[in-house]
Amino acid sequence: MDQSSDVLLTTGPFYQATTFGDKYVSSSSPTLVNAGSRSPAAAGLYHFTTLPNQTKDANQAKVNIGLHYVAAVSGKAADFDNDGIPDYVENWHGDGNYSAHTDAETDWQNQQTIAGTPDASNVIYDGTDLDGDGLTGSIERFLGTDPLVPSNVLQLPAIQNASGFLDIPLGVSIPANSWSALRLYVNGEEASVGEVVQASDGTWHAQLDTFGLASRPCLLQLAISFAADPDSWQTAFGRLSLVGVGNIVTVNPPTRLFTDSLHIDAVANIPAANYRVEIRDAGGTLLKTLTGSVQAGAISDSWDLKDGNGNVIVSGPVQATFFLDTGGTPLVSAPAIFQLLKSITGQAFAIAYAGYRFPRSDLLLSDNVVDALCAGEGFDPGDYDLLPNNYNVPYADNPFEWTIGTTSENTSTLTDALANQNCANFYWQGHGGPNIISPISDTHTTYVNDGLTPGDVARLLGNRGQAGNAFFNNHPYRLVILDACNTWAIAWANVFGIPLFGEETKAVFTQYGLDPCAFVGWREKTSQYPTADARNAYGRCLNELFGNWYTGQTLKQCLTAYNTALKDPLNSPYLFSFDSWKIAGCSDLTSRDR
Amino acid sequence: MYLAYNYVGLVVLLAEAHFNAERLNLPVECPIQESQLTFKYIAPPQILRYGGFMGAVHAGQYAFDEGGGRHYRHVAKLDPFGGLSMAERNEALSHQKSQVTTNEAYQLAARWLRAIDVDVPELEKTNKVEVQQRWFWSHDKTATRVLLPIFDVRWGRWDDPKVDVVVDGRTKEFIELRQEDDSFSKRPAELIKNVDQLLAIPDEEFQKYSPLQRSNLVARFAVDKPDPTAVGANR
Repeated sequence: MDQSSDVLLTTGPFYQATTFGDKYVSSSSPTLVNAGSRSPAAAGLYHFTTLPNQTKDANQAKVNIGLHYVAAVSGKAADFDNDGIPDYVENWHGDGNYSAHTDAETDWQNQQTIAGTPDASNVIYDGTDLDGDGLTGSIERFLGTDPLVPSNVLQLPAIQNASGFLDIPLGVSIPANSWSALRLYVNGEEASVGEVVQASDGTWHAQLDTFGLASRPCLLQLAISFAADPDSWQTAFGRLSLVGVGNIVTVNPPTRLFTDSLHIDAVANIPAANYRVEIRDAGGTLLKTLTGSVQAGAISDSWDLKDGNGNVIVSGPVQATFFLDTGGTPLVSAPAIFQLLKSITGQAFAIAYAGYRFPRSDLLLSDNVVDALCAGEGFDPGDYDLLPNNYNVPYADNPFEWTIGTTSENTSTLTDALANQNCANFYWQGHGGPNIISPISDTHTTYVNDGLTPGDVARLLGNRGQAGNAFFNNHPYRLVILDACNTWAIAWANVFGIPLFGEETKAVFTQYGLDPCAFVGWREKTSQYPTADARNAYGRCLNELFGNWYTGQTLKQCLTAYNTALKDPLNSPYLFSFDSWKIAGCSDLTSRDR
Repeated sequence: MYLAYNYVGLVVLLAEAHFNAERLNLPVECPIQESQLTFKYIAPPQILRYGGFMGAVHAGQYAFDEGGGRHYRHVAKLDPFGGLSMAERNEALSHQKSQVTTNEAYQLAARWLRAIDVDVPELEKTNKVEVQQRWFWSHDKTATRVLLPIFDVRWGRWDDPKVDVVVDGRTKEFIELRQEDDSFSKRPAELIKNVDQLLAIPDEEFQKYSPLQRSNLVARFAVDKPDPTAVGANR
């Protein structure tokens, strides 16, 4: 160890407490100022000090010896140019020399390193949270908030006693037609019990159905996923918010959906001998009262949706109010909504893509998706009917490419296919995100920042109660694969009528009379080299996926086989994060489930 | 393209289907001819590297799927519930009685597996067998869970079984025989050998083959050496 610049003290050091601590050196003998082994710049301590008078080490020949604090002015970290960003943050290399770091710093001696742009809004800080409110610069810019004023519009309130259906108006909105989505995370993940919806007045609301949660505290977190373009998705989170859930009953989420009978499977969260459940229609008319005894804390009851004369009297969602008899006045729950589902009736498979990810994506789709789904030369009864009509002809290179441009647009071809009553399956490959799938321009030169949102699909299919429809899923799909970046979002599964967002099995669906179905989305940004080699590589992966699908293997096995192909050294150099898929619904769905 | 490969592939698939249909005494006309098929799928050559030959044929009311080196073999009844929705199916099945108990379902499943050359004792040395009867929540509160006459018999982990048999308790027939790990099967692990050489045969050359040459082709590349004339794939 180099000891040549050691200083042997004869007195002191004497410490003084001031702005940021109590180890500022007020004096010593000999002095420790300008006494170190190298310059402050070399030590990265240009904007720091050891002295109570806050003099920066700055340009002195040698760094001070002693504990260094950020140099302060008037009790705050020194900000030479008064742009709101401390000098030590702007010049984080700590050498006082902006000109050596123009690609990584803003100029600590200039309020607008780029003329016209305040330093706090400089893209240098896109990944930095300058005001400590949890939002980085790019998010603050997207939301239009001040990057130097702590205010997190994604922060949800803490709620001590939540019960029933919780609606939290949000202080944030997202621009219309933007590549952005507000998302609600419940105990760390998106779940069927919570979502963010836009009300008819345009305001956004986080909604939590607390009946599906155990009666204990849960953590809520609001997030926003956004992108300036399809290749730069980011997700920002508000801080966790603690919500105390306190319902007198917890209702098993799958039972909240029903087809030809209503089954109630609930747990009483307080000791009770008997229960009564009043079932009303959306207008509040009492349809049925179920009564019984609570068995080992469980409430289990059923109703065939018929009145005393054997007539079915339910044609839409119903609300159930629980009354628990605890010996005195019965305790009453808030109403719990139960949603009516339609059965899946279609068979056809819609296939669409946006080129540009791979050169000649038409070949990728025609050889590895269209032909694979019509493996038997397109004429076997076991083959899928493919949509859109006149596209996706087996053994021809004409899969449907969705384009929007200045001179032409074929969106209606896709939406007609999706709305076709025989359509129950959809494979999309192209650009996407949690709130959009988007096509390519008709000139094939650029991505289009427009497309279909979950709201568009809900209206198109009449799902989620759209168009005055009483059915939660007017046109449910059996299999939806959105092969695009960041499509793993509850909103997508919901609008295609996939009733459960968790990974389940057909056995669970059988128990509740739900038709088997599944949604596959990707959790990350997937990317690839735009080369023919990459196309061939992904073709092998898709052939694994759909080839295994045609031999009756389960969806999860097919995707596992797809992953195996992705990891093949022949393919892996070209493809990135494609293994980030996730399944909602039946992981054991097969091509024979139709 | 790859006519020779597709030809041998179809022959071995038909042969395996024939073997399964005969051993399981399925109501399928045997030997199974190509003309009987309602569906056929032969994996394209580019994915052979991920586990060898793979394909499927449908004949009669049955699907016969082969996963080659993927260790996957599957025989299933097509549309066993007549296209009913799950709710309709539950309702219909709930009125039909099972002719078997869970133990009898297991006995049936084991018998079918033995019939298609699965070494059941060896399978059970390392894989626990479990039988569950399917059920759904009743419309009627007096019978909360309604048992259905359908049984799942699984060897290995329940949620990731090595072998899975679905038994129709109404008819004592199987709905599905699924081997996710065929290492307990005495059937050949690979159905086609020397695939690279097979793929190298030009289409023009294959099209000139006589029936005898085609038969020799199958003998050369099919592991189990089925007779192509017996399965009617001599097109």
